[in-house]
Amino acid sequence: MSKTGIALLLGLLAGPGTVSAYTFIYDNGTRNPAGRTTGAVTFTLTFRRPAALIGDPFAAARSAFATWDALTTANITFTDGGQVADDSVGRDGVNKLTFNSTTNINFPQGAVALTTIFFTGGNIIEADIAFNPNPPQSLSVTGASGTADIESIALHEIGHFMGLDHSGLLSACMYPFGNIGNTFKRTLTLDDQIAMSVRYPAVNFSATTGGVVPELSLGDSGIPGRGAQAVALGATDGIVVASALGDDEIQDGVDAIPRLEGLPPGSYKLYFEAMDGPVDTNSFDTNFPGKPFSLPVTRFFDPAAILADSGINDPAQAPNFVVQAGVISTNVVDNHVPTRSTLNITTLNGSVLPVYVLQGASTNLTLTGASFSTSGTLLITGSGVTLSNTTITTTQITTTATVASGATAGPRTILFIGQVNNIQQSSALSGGFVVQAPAALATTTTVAAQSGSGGEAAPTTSSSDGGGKNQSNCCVATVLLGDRTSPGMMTLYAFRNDWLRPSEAGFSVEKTYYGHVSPMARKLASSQALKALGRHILLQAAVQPLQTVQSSASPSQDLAANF
Amino acid sequence: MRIFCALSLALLGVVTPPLAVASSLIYYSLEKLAKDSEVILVGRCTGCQASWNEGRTLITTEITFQVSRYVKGFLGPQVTIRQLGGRVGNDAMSVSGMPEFQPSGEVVLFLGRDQSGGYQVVGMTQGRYQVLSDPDTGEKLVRAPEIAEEELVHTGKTRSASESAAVPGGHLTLDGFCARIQKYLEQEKP
Repeated sequence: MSKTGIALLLGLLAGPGTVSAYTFIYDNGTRNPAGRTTGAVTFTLTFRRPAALIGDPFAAARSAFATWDALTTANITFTDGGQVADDSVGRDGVNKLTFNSTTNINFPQGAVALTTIFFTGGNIIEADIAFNPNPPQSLSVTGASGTADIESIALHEIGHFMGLDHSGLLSACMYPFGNIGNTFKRTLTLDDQIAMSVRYPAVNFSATTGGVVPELSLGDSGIPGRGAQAVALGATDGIVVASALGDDEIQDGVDAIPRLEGLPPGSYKLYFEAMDGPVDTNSFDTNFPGKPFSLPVTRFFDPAAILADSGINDPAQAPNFVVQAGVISTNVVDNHVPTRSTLNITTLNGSVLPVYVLQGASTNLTLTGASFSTSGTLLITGSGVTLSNTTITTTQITTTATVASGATAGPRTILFIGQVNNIQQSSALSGGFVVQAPAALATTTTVAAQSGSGGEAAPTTSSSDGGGKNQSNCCVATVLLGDRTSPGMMTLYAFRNDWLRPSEAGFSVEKTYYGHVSPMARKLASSQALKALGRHILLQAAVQPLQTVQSSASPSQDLAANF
Repeated sequence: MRIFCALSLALLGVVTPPLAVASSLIYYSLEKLAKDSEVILVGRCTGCQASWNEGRTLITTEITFQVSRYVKGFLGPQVTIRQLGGRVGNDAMSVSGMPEFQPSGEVVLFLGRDQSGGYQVVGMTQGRYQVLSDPDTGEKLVRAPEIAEEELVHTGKTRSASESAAVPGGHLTLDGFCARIQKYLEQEKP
């Protein structure tokens, strides 16, 4: 075997070091979490777009970058570097997002998009996000029924792009399974926000937040535990705030130590939960490359249970952990947790996704799994959610959840407590039940409803056409026609997207155009007479003939693309 | 208000299939993996060889497996797959969601062809199942919680009957796991 092969094998053998909060992608060679040396990153988009897609994927991608960029607790700044022609993915000094990446990579079967990350010594030096131009799942810019929302996917991939790995919370943007048919995951949960902020802290983030580092081992003898996550709930509202994975015990010779950092000051209840589905350690391969892992029961932590089992399954009986600003509390709790039996919740309403419910509304829930004891208890953390008509069999629980109109919005945990093998234990779906404020939901469902009715809504992203922070009126057409949403501009956009970009020759024309128009645009912008003349010529010579052609050739093509 | 609630329930209660976004993937249940894969094998990783491409823009890794059993298809006693990512010297390229392999680690692999005609793991990490050894008995186990639950849910077996096949914690014996795959494949036959 070659030296490089041996190096890789050694790299794969070496496990991770201490796992910091929320999970970061690991450089298995250095056993360090991989991150960028700076949160200031310039990204570029490539020109080509999926031929069959209706809508503007570039605006969707830009909106996803803008969502992360708006995070004030993280010192990250995304600069829009414009669009380039080179679709190839790989190390070329450019952080790229492309919708046409077949130039040089072969997507594995089932892949819709992937993020390639180059790092040296734990530092990310470049990353690219590549959407499969022939995806196995239909995509849209609206989260239309039966489609995956491009903006939601981009938001998740940008997390990887910056070095975040997955979250075990169903509600998180960085949860390994994305939604189909809605846009709920266009927003960042607290867990996502904290993850990015811990990795790239804004000034004062560490001073204004705190944390706790609980320890876990399994059984009476304290067999090391690993591959389970610790979850922090708001003590009074039961909202899921953040989670962190326990690390690799065998490598380090210490207990599983998840670091729950970046928590806003306040009181929390903490519990440990096995990664036993829907998420398992397969979803954290850079953290747990091919290693076995532990399956503790779900238990709330108790500092009083020193090297012992707290025995606490009900959050109402769990002690509060007070997090103070600027303080990471260590050595506060070291519990021994029993290995779980077959008790496990595996699906919610036939899926592995969270359920979203409006304040003041109710919904039916069906949980499937194993070893539910009929005398057990199902609950949703926090106040304001009541369960009724609950029926329990060993493999299925059905109930109706009613959310009070004043219930705090945010993700909750669904918890079943029952007795198995003479041990009172519980199983959790962390972040599996999300209470939505009507205003928040109205935005997303409106879009979904429009899409579902057959029409695609125009992108409603904050970073609109030609957007990004570096947008300028550099294009002749923009100067002459002014309004980017005018019919004339729409016609030109369509011409560019549907006629120029699909061919190499057209691509060259566009590239040449962009390379030479700025001086001309500035000249035109300085004279009202020139603008009027230019507008007349443009409309007569280009727009009107194009409108005639387009109306007969492709009447349904979307016109709201990005110039 | 009633209409509003009904609309909300309609919008929110719809069961939608998930998208796995390890990178962004479609979600594979074991049944879908079995049916969509061209080759299913049990093998042991015997070597990994990472290299740059010609332009030094991408790192890919060739991973070779010594095959002990085929459950579906046949590619010979040794199988080599190539996937994105790997480490060459100080440089590493990672693709989130791409499976990593331990040398000598035994796995069940679900393989499919990519657009180049080569084989890759279907659904990235979703198509790789670790084979573990029971610390007490030495019996080979595959962690597959959904199978244990499926046995309970779909066959109506009692818990004790299911647990005779499934080790607590959601593991199956390797033989039991392969038998389950065969069962899915037989359902496919006309």
